[in-house]
Amino acid sequence: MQTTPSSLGRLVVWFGELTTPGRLYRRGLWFLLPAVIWILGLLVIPGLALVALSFAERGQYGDVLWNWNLENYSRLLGYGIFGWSPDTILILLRSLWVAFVTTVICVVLAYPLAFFIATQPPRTRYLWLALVIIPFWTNLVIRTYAWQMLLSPEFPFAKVAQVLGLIPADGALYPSAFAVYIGMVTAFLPFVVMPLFSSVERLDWSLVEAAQDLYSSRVRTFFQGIWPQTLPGLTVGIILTFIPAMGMFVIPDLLGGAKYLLVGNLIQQQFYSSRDYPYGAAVSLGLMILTLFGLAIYRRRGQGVELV
Amino acid sequence: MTVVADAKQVGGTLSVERVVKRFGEATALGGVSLEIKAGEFFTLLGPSGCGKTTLLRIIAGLELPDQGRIVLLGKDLTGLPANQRPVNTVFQSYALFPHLSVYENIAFGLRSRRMAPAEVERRVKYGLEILQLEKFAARLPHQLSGGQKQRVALARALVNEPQVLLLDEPMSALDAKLRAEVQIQLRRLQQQLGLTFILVTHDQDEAMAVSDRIALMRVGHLEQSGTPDEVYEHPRTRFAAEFLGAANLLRGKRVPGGLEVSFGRLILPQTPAWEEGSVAIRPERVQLRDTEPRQNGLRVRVREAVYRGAYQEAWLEPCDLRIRTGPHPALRVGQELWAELPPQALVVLEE
Repeated sequence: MQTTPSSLGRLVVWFGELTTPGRLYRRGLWFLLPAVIWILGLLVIPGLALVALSFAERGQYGDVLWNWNLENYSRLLGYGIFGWSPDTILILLRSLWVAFVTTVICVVLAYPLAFFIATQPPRTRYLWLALVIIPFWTNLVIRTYAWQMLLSPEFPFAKVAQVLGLIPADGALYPSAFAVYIGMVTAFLPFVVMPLFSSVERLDWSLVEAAQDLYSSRVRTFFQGIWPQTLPGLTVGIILTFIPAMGMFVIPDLLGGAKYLLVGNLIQQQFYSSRDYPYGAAVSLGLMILTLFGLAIYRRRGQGVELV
Repeated sequence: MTVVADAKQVGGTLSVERVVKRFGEATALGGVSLEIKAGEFFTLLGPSGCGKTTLLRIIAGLELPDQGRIVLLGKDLTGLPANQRPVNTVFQSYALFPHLSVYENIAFGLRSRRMAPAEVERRVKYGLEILQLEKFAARLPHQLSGGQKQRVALARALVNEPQVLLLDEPMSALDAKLRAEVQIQLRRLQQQLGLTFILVTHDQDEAMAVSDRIALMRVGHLEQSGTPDEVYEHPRTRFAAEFLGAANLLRGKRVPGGLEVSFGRLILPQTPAWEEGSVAIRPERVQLRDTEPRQNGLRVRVREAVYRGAYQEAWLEPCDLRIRTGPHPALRVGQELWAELPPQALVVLEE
């Protein structure tokens, strides 16, 4: 089709072809197609299916009865055959709490670590960084089993705790909340250290000097000269830790035992041993809402800084 | 905080006493002493690596000297951390806090000192006003141009009413035209406020334009200091002559009544202390003549002539003598004429 130059608007030359930015943009959209198919097929459609499933009911043999009701959600809120119990709500809140505490511990540990690594001479700097990453090359399940070993009664950690009277004379350090935190923090620490390190490495130290020059105390120098500059890395680290920590089931399963169930374990149970898909779907959606809720709080507190 | 700028007192006398600073093997400062008077615009001038920035950072308290003292108004500041010195810095990169507005950046030092809110507001308003930043008070640093950022950095330092204001190459990020403007403004501001300014720069034009006194530095020591015209007209060394403006250097042997050089004998304004050495003459002090001058004359041929608008520049043979002159009809390549090196224009350099 022949178009007059005026109808084309701004013109650009692209590999010798006279065209418009709009046309180039539309042509470029085709490159998005694989990603769109991927997201539609593996995220949006299954997601919607999950929503639909959550309103169904478990049949006698683990099949799905499509009789649209809110039964699963009332179960999620704790209403069962024997009246109301706080168990599921406790599991949800505990998951939120464990994810929160894990994130806080990771940040507290990662902050000085990132500064330590970033201020090393270039040659040793990447060696230190490698030490942080190497455990990460081992499968999470294997690492978690390793923690089971390390925390078992005959290993020094448990021995020390036994001597201190923290656990019975022949007891192990797992299954326990403590063991879950050990597992979670070691699993997620690299996710906070890495983005934080990249922020610290690019830190503009002249802002620190400016703060000192302008009569700041050490505390003020930190919060005005350093902290704002590390926020982007910290934010990435927090999100990379908090979200997967909310849904983690391997670590609580192996190190927490039956008494320390997290929502991830609850979901896993529904889809495996209980074969209650509709209820599993409802719990999954509950987890998703809870995660978004947690991030929303963080975002509000971050004021003005673009977080998600 | 022990020492904080007294609000009414402006411009302190600063002494730098035999300051030595080493970085590993390298000596950045090899015993530098300076006396900077109250209300003076003092410039540390030198090529990169001469130690001028290190000295400024030592005065600011951002670096500790290995030896020597920094004394402000009779008070020894040497061991005092930066946040307790009545001194403020305008950083080369400006170092504005990116998360704070222009207003909050300017208020930063005042808030650090927990000044009363009314006083903070008064001073920030004053700072915004003298640097014409009122319109930008609510902006964030990334929404400002280079020149505006520089003014914010200046206002942020000035509202603290420091006894000495340190400026670390504050104009290096500005384009040439803006730089010339800012130089004049800076000079005017300094005179208006009567503060002591210490400027670090490698730009000799800038140093000459703004300074009351210049200290020329070279590899960790003070080469020469004085008013711009003293340093320009009477450079003591070859380095001083060549770094500050252009200079022709002539080497020769001392003879009774003058200097024996390759093309003859020159009459000097004073007898040099050395047997063999150099004298310098500025290109604009060389006179062109049609006839042989009475003394210090030299028959020359124009090797190269460059028209520079405001003046003309030429290189003459022999000696590759560089000259600057107003419009001159004879200044064509190949032209032969006489050059006069007036005795009072010749500067005997130290060996």
